[in-house]
Amino acid sequence: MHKTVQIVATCLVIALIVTAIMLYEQHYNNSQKIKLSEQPVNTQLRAELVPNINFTDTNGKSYKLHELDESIVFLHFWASWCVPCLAEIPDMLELVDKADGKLAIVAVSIDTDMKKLESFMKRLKKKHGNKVNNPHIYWVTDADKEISLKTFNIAKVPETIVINKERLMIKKIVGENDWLSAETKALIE
Amino acid sequence: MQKPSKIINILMFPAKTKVFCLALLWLIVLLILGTIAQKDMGLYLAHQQYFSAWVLWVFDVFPTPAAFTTMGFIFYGLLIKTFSEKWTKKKIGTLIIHLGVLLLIFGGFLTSKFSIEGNMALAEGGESNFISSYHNIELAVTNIANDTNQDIAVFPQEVLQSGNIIKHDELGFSIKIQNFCNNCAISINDNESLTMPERIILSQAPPEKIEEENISGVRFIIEGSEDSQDGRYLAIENIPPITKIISGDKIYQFSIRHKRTYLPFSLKLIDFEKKLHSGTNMAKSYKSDVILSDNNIEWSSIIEMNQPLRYKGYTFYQSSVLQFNGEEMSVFAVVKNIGRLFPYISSIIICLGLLTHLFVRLPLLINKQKITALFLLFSIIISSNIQPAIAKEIEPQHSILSQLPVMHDGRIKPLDTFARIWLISFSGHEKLNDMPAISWLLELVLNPEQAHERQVFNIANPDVIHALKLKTKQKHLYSFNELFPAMRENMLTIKELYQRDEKDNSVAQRQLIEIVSKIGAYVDISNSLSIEKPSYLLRIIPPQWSNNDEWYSPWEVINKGQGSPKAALFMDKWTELTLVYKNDDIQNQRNISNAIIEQSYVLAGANINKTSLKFEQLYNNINFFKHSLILYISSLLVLIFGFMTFKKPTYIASAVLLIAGALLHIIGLGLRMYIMNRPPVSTLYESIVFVGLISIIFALIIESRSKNSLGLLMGSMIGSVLQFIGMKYSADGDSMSMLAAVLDTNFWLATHVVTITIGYGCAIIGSILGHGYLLAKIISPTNKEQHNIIMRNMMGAALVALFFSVLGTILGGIWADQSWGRFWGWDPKENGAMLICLWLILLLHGVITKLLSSKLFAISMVITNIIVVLAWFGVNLLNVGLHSYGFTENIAQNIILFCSIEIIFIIFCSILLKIKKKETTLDA
Repeated sequence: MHKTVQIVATCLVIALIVTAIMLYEQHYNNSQKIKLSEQPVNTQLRAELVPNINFTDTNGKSYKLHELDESIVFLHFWASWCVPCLAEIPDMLELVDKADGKLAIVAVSIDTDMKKLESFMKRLKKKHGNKVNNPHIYWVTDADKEISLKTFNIAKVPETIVINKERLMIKKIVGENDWLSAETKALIE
Repeated sequence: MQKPSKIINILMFPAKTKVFCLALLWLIVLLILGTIAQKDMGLYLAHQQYFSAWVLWVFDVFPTPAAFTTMGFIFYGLLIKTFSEKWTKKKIGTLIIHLGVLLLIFGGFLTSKFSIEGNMALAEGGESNFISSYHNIELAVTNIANDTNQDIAVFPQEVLQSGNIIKHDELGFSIKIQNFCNNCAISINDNESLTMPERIILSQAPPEKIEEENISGVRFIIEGSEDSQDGRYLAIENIPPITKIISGDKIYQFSIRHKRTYLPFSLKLIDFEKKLHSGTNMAKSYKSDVILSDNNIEWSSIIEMNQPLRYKGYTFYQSSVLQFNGEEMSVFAVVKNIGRLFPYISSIIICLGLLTHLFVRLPLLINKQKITALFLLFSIIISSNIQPAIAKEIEPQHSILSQLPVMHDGRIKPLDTFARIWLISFSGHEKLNDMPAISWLLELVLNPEQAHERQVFNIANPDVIHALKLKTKQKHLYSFNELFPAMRENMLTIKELYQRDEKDNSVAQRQLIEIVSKIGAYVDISNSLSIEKPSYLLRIIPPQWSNNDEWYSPWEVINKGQGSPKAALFMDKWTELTLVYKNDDIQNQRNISNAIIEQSYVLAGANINKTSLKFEQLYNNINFFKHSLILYISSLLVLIFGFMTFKKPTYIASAVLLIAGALLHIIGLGLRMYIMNRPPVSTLYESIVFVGLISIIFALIIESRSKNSLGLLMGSMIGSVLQFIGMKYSADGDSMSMLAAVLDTNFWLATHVVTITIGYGCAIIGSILGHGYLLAKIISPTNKEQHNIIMRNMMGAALVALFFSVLGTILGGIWADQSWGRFWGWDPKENGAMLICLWLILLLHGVITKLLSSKLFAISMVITNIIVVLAWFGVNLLNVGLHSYGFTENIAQNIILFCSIEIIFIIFCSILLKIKKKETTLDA
């Protein structure tokens, strides 16, 4: 009887040693790879009230974001040096034009060189005429980053925040937007 | 029926303890003879004749078993004994020891048969890709046409026997060996009609004491060559080859040299430095500056004494300096050992076995003693460390931010944990001097310029330090401003190292890469608040717009368009904090920190579990596992000394300590489970801690049933060991610092010397008890109880001495393996240590199996003194080998004097005892 026990015990000891060596080797090789498993995080998106910022458009008129008449506001950040931003401007103008006053676009430029911005605006007006002067587009400059970086934590353009009737921020569009798409139009409806 | 039993008897013969003791005695004799022979023969030859051989020829006539045979015999006996014996609880310690010894002998055999050993000699500027064997000679035929220097045929020493005709397919001729000599005496024949090679006569001279001084040579006849180049030729070691045979477009050259093993890489010596002890010609240290080339990689490294270069299984040790053709050459000893792991594993097993045996046997052996009180005091001091841990002194304005939630490695944790993880990763410590991790991190984030001066990067490997041309520092800590320029200078090498397979890189190279990536992480963290410089690690902003659970660093928020008004407010606060931090405005720091925490909770909303963060902070501040370890060790100590005396109170104390430890253990593990939200068995660290707890609970259950201390003993032992191992694998951090510690030579020096000295000390105590026993027998022959007490103490001392001697010797072996690449070298000092171990083993086996009477045991213990002194000081007299330090002139006299006194004492006591015995028998 005790012989069997001995044989089993011997095998166990050998197995233990082998396992220990293997474990050691494995650990030695993988010590860098051991990582914690992921913990599920409960994410809930909350549509939040947009800060009621004051802004002044290029005509010198001041507004408060919450007090705009239009029901939907697109808070759009752009710059005259940003090629994708420029590419989407025609579509954007087109959209406001067709929105029957339901939509406001607050186009915040993060340009710091005001001269360049002005000459760009001149060229824009030449090209698109009245569309640029549409009263539902508010052209705003933000050279000191008061609105973009300090209020909305944005430094990379184009980015657009969609604000609904209740002045809740319901969506953020990062990068270029297809302004004439059904999706965008649905946002206005 | 009788026949098989006879066969079994014969088979079982070596397993008898008596036979084993005789074999051990023979081994001791061999050891002594071999060690003494080393003085005249030199280390190698004595090693070959006594230790690395099967048969030892005494006076060249009588064959006697040499070390291989004796060890084999012992191995066989032990194997049979171990597996034929009934395994009982009492013998478990012995059993484990025997298994360890079996493994050790087996590993030793493997090493002696299969390891590659040799040397490489390089002059400054020289490069080589082979190692030369120390002892084996070969005859090489090399094609030297067009400077090719290609080995065409290599004939090993074994075939160079006179009369042998050797051929090789590539060679168009045959070589007939006339005579070969290991160490040649060269003389010249007067017959002037012969050619010069023919006039030189080679004859065998007695071998030199130092193996390397032998000069081998061979005389041979070429037959069947083109253009009648047949004739008698010779090749002599260290003499430039003269024989040349031309065959077609090839020119063959013949040379005798040490056997070469080619390496998969090459080594180039850039600079060699030899330091002398001032005012003497004695070398203080050698240092070689080398460049290792492996394919495209060039790796600069330094090889110094005790500081070898390890690469692809080969280890290069600075061994000596050689004068060759007026040039100084640096000589490296190179080793590749297959059985390298065996001594490590077997020594752990042996020590475990000895410990177990000690604990099982000690209560029987040692009598109540007053020292117990002392040890109790010691235990109390240790346990007094376990005061409720007060939250560490973090500057209050920093402690506020330590609960800031951050996402790291897929989990939300407090900033404090994040800081600790990275500080441990960089520096190996949870604290920088007195600076808590959180303060360090805040400095790095808020004021990087100042933080870059702080020494945070731990680089202990001298190879890496050298490769980066840094100054060696006591604490091995370097600042970013020290490291960064060094890294930039070595960018090319680092790039190459990055690109190739990790397995091809040596330990130092891997460490270098690791440091580079650590610097990357460090820079990343220092950029955490910047929106211009990329950073990914410190993710403090939860998702604002998208539905994924990705958190972002401030830079990422901007770049991925995840900014929001709340994030803007949050970052605004950080900007404010940066300002007040630089101004040292503590009140404002506090206010803003509070605002940041508040804002962070607002930002994260339902994403975070504040309780979990608080618990984690608590878990960080009170190191539950460390404290439970202290409690377990205290419990073990109290228990051991309880075995000797006051059973009851120590038993209770030990149990209380163990339970308290287990409670802390449970709390720690519970917190961990809560924080991680998963069972605690996912990483190696967790499983060790978990298994530890389970074993302790089991042990406590066993104890509650049997109440014989066995459960307590098991529990406290397992708890201590596992918790200790667990701490080495410390949470979340990596285990690199452990490896660095193994390479730290001072550590081995300290442990080896301390343990071996304790071993010597215990042996001397045992020996003094032996004196006492003999005297007690003479003075009061009837006081049996007193004799028994001394006897028991003597055995206890012998056992403890054996434990420490074995442990110390093994530690020394490990040190030698780390520094010189071999575990055991049959060096006189090593033999001395082994002598003590063998002697104590012999005595203990003798007394356990009742082969030795108490009186004989006592006498043997007195002799132990002589052996200790000889092993300690005596071996220095031989003046050979590695340990021949501290030699003084009058030590020899003192040793002789001491030994004579001991011998006279033994003879005197024996005579007196005989007389007493006669008297008592007469009286009776």
